[in-house]
Amino acid sequence: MSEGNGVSRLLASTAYRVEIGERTVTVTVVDREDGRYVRLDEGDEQRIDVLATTTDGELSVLVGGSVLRGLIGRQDDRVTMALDGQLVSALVLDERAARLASAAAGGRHRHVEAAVRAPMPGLVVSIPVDRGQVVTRGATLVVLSAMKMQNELTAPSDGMVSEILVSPGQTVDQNQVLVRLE
Amino acid sequence: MPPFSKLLVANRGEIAVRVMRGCRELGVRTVAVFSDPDRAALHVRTADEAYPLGGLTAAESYLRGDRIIEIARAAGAEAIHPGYGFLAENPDFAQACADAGLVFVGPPPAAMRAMGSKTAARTVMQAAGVPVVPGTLDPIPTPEEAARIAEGIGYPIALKAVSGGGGKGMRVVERPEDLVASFRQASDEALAAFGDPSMYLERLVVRPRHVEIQILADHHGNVVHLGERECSVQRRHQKLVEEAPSPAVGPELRARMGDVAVRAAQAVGYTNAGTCEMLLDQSGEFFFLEVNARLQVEHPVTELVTGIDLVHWQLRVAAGEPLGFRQDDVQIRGHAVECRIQAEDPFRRFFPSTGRVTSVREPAGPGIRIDGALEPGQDVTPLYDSLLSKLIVWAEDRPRALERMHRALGEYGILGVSTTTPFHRWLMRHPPFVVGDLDTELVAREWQPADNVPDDLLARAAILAALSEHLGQGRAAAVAVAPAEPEPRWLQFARRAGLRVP
Repeated sequence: MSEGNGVSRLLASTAYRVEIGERTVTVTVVDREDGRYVRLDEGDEQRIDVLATTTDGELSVLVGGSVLRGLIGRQDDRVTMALDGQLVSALVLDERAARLASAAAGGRHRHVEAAVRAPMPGLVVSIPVDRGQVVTRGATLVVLSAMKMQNELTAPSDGMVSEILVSPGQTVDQNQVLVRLE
Repeated sequence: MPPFSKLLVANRGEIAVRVMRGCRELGVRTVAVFSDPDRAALHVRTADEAYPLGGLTAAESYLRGDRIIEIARAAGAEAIHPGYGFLAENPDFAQACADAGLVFVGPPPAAMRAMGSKTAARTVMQAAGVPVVPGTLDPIPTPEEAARIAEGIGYPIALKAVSGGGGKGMRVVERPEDLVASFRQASDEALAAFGDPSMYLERLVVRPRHVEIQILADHHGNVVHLGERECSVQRRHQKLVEEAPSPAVGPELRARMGDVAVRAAQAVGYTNAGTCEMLLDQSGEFFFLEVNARLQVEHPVTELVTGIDLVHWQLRVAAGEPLGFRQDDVQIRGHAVECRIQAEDPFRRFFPSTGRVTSVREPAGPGIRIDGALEPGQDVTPLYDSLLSKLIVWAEDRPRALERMHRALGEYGILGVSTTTPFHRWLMRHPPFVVGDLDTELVAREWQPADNVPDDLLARAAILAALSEHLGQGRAAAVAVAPAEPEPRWLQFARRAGLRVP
């Protein structure tokens, strides 16, 4: 553990594990007597000042002297952000929740299931995979006809098709689970 | 004198709001119609009066011409503006309006019919001396016959399905020896997809640009063109970005293309606003594609560079007024760009994104125009088009317009659904686009986004996400942050002086 700025007394420190896409960053929020600091992974502590939080979701902060400004919302259990015209979705776990999550995984071989859901109501055209088939990330699992288009739903990660819950010709609702991967 | 006392807008979303704004500026009262899910939509709240159509889907609501005409008559509207899409290019609806004693804001049904069929339009245009892509639109009976026609046109050629669209039943043939096999494959595909195996062929225009000319025609024989729009940035044959003028068109080519568009309009007795779509090849040769008999999505870029309000003129022309200007009066000034902000995920091959829009922050400042009907709380459903809003900028020249658009896109914040803004922002600084080297395959060829979030964005996003969690933002109501400053001196002074301050 670094001593931070080594000058001001530490009052509290909370670490958050932030997962964005395939990557994970640990962000530690450190409260010291002289103010609040933030640290990314094992980097240096940087002074942080909150400028604004608004009802429609703006969060603006000063990190060092730089302005960081975003529009923040929540979708399900994720934080969504609009920054510079980009949309970023993050899963944030604080230290305790992260520890619980890894304890639940038993610390041994992690058995993760991913559900591929229908992003919108539509008609299943075809399912070009079979149960038990090993697929790589990006492989087409289901072809869904919706909004006058044929949409290919692809595997979010490498894995094995553990379950196929729909069949071609079937109409599905938004968010309905179509295929499970493990 | 307003052109009409009251007008019904037979549409929804941004275009309905755009038309209503134009009406209000001319003193025309507006009537909205709405489907069940659109009961609280912005176009309904923008109008002076609103009536339910009932129904959920477009077919049950905005396509019910009979109901719409009934409502227009009951409400005492004199005219109907169809916007774009839905009933806008339906000659039977235009005729039904006329039969009901209502003015349809658009071309006469006969002109619409003449433009409605690809084959008929092509015949009329050829007779009027309008250049068309060499080929035949008539069904070709056998592959051998196709080979004979292709010989006369020259390779490469495109084989297309007569009943087709969207690239199905289409084949590009580079060499004569491949023709027969390609013809059979394409024909089988067309039969499977459209139930009709008949094929036609035309010369393949290599790396074409999609350039269109805006025209305005009154009921007194005056037809003018308002210059061109460059619409080559497309995916799935749908436009994503439009600009005026086109980087490939100078004054001389503009005059020639404009002249052809005017002739095309005159050939079918066109009135009101319309657009002549053309293909422009790399050598500067251009060919007539079709006439869009309506106001177009991308009309604002033309309004910004000409200073002419197309909706105002649509209404005034429909009311019988002559155009108040001549061709010589139309000047192109500066450069305008429009980005269609679609509810689609550009990182997943522009896959439609549905859901509830939770927050909207719109850009502002010099040269910005937003035509939209986007609000927090709005549901984006698969029922209607995925266009959320149109961001349009004007600047003195193209480089400045692209930088202004880049700035504005950075200010645009939409949460709840994925949008095309990251793609648009990338495009504004993508070298081939910046130098104006465009063709209709640009997006398919060059937009290959990396999956991972760039490092600097990752760091910033991680800090904001963690801090938002730390502050409990979003789980509770937003936290009002106490000012870090002590009470400012003026406030302390005011309190001591007993002044009323917050």
